[in-house]
Amino acid sequence: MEDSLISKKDLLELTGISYGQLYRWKRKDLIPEDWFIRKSTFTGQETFFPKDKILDRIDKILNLKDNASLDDLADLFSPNLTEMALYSADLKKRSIVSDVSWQLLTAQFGEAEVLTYERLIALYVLNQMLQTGEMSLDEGRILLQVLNDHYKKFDGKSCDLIFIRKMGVATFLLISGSSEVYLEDHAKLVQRIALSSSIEALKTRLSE
Amino acid sequence: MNDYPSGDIRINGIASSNGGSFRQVSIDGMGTIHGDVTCMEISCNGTSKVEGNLRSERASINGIAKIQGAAHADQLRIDGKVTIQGKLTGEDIQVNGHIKILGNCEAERFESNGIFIIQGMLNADIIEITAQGGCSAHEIVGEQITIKHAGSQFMTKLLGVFMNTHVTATAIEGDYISLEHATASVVRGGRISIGPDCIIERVEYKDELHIHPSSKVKYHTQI
Repeated sequence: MEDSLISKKDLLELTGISYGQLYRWKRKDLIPEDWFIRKSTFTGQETFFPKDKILDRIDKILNLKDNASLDDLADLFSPNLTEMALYSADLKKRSIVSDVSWQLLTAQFGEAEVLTYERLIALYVLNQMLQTGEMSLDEGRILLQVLNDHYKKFDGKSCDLIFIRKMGVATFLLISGSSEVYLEDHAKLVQRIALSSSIEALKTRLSE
Repeated sequence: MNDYPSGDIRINGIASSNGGSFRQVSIDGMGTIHGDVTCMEISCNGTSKVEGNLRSERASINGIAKIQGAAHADQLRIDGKVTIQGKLTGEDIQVNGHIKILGNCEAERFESNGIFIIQGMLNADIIEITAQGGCSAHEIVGEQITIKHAGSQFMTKLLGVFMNTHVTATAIEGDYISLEHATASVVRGGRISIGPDCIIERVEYKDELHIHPSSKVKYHTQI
């Protein structure tokens, strides 16, 4: 997965920013450390960047910096999900979730340019469940509603999502992490997902 | 603004303490802190050791200090000898003694009148270095970088017989760079002035370049 690289010199020329700006943004964590790739060239050591990522990031910073402080921008770009909001367009482009789950979300909550943390998780879990093939689209709607209404109440504590079906009727439960659950004989526990592991998975997908 | 608990650590003599969050930490003597410390103000006058990360608004270190993790101080003044095994971040860093950083050093303003050895990158908006001995950093980057030569010519020449008194870096990059007494493989920037006694392999500049006749620049190009 070798992205095309751009040298620092070319980057500064292309974007018209100065060394000072570039390094100030790096200090403020607007540009992650691991995008600075050091390579030796015939002119000595040079720093390279993943071209598409850095151009996209600098474009965003330049557009937003007049209206937001650098610290706010740092939160926006932070890999820490709880403080993160994501552009819908960005997410679509990276194809982290399928179009079907995306349509379901917009049908339920409307189009939004920026996805909040809760929505993002709901979307990701929905996608995850749909992919297992054990959940229908209608049930997906219920899932979104449950996550939307109740996930916030856990306030960052770990919780599990439980998907139960009895005689064709589906229901979802959100319970605090690793509690024991017992069901009557006719009910079937279709799936139990620890949301914390979904968040982890989402984070790694986002940082790719 | 952080809220700090009212508790202080005060070590006079030889003692050790656990880490945590404090208002003031002062060590006069030999102190060890086991764990991470967050505090409003820390002052070390003796031999101190932090076995963890240090985070402070104001820090002043006058003795010997060793920080085994990363350090952050909004205002940091070092008049002693400090070793930081992680990275150092801050707003205003002033070094009058000796500092060794195994990671990167990032600040808004970095001023040195002493000796520094930074194994990572030195990154600050304004970097002012008055070289007193052999200083080195892997890379020195920022907006405005000034490296000056300290004290009398005679003393440095005398010292130079025994040790390297240059500021050494693989790369120096900035918008305004003024160097004296520096050794670098590459210097890149907007306006560059290379003063006396520099040894530089390659200079890449955008707007302006001055080279003092006593400096050795192998190759220079305008980009």
